[in-house]
Amino acid sequence: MNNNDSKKHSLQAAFEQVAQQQQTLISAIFPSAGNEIIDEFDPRGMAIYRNNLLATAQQALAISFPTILMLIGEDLFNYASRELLISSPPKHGDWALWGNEFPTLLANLAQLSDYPFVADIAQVDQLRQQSMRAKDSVIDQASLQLLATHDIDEIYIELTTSQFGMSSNYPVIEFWLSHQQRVVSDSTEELNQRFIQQSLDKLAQGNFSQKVLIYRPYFNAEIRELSTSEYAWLTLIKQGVSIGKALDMMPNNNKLEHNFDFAQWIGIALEQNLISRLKV
Amino acid sequence: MSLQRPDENLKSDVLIGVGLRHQHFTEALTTPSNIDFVEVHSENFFAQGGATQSVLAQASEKYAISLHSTAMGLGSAQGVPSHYLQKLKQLASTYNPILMSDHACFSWSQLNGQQVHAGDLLPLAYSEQTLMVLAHNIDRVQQSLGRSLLVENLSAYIQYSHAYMPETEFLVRLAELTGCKLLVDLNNIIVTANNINAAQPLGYAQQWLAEIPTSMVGEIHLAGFTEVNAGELIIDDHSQAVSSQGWQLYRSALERFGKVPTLVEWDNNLPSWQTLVAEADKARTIAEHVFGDSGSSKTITAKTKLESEFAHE
Repeated sequence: MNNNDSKKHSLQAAFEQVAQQQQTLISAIFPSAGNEIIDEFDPRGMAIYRNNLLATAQQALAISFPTILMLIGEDLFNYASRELLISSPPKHGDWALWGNEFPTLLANLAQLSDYPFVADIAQVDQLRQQSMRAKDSVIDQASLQLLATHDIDEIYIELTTSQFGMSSNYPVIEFWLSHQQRVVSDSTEELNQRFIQQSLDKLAQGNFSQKVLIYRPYFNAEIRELSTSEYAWLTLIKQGVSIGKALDMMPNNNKLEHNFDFAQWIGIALEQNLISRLKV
Repeated sequence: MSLQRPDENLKSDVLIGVGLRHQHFTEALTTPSNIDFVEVHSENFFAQGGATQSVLAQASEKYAISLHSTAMGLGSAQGVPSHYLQKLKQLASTYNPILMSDHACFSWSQLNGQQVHAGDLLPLAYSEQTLMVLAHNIDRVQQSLGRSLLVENLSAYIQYSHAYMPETEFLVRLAELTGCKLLVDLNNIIVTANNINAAQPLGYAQQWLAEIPTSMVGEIHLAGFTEVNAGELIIDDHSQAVSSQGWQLYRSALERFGKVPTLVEWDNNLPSWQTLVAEADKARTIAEHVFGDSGSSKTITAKTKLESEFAHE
């Protein structure tokens, strides 16, 4: 074995030994059915690391899922945070990216079995966070000239990456809106009650379904309902269908409640920063 | 956009900065403040876009930026993942920070066969093996970033029973092996001294500083902690003003290490922006006393307050 081989071997051995030591400590800190007790360490110190982890996890989820915290209260929220640490420990080194599995965890939580809409509201919170962290985008104005120079069959729309669509069997927009008032007053309470009533009215409809768009005109992510036709339109655009072909396909969809007006849509899309650019 | 502030704009010979946290964004951007740089936690700006990126871009127009990472986990035997390093590299190339730092700790590991990030600064065993791992990782990160790192001493709440080597020896050897410099967190030394029941915490801290060669220190951190009852461990919570012991130690550190960039950290129980900047003024006043420098003209009030504070000790 030459010098280099020997160094490599000793480095590898060092990594293996330290890895084992570090995994033992991690196992003793992360919550689980039975935390390992490591005699070597001061239990007061271990308690600090465990508490830090739980507190940071709760804080991170509270930032990503503020509506869920308001909706289910701190006790259940903290319990769910701990459960998520067990089932899906963080792996990115950025707490803002932790919590993708939180909506699914909430959907399966026994305490929320009578409130199945909570998981969908968590998805709204999650998509809003993703939207607000997405790359900034301003429409390429020059690309709009393509509408004057090319046939619409040849023109494609590139949508901004800060928008997300979702579908729910519950009136999630109204539920979500009813939990956004940070200051409690008579007027905010009245507003909340109005949203809740709207939610209940919609729920009373049979086979209710709601299509939701989360988008970011500037820095704050907004939420609005999508009509069936706009949802179908956005689906075609995302699939890479040209403007002309997508317009041809729209009337063939018998689920649409009314005709799709492209001129009106592009005005709204520009206002709401839905389009990154047009391209051929 | 990148910005390297010209030297003539700096407020005194010793660069003095404060930690910039979310609650202070507006005031930091709109209030004239007697500080040379702001330190941000790198991971808080890893998003591709959005409001935080805009704030950092604006802050970089007004202040020099220091990128302080809290999740790199340099001592992790699992290594520092490329996805993390790519984001840090991108951030550094956008904002051209005057300083980049992280801690002598580990964060990445395996849990039930899966990669995990501890979300915390976990202590290292100061062994030959850990030194090899840490040095190897730092070398890789420095190669990737194309610059040297500052590595900070930690507040640890547990001590490995095998006393491999003293913390100072570990850090000095690390700096010799990698060419990195040390970020000496004075509060962390005081917290550790208290937590290991050092007979005289300030004496322990002074000795700690004496064991570090004068050329190895690239930055000093100042912070405060919440007092605890006897028998409890102190948590390095950055929730208070710098303690009187912290200020005393700062004077000693400047006397030993020279004109080292200094940062006041305050992360929890945040005061007003003005109070935070006033803490930075205290640091500047001490630097002026130590170096006989009158570069700053905005320190009279802070100086008076500081002298009054020391008069009670």
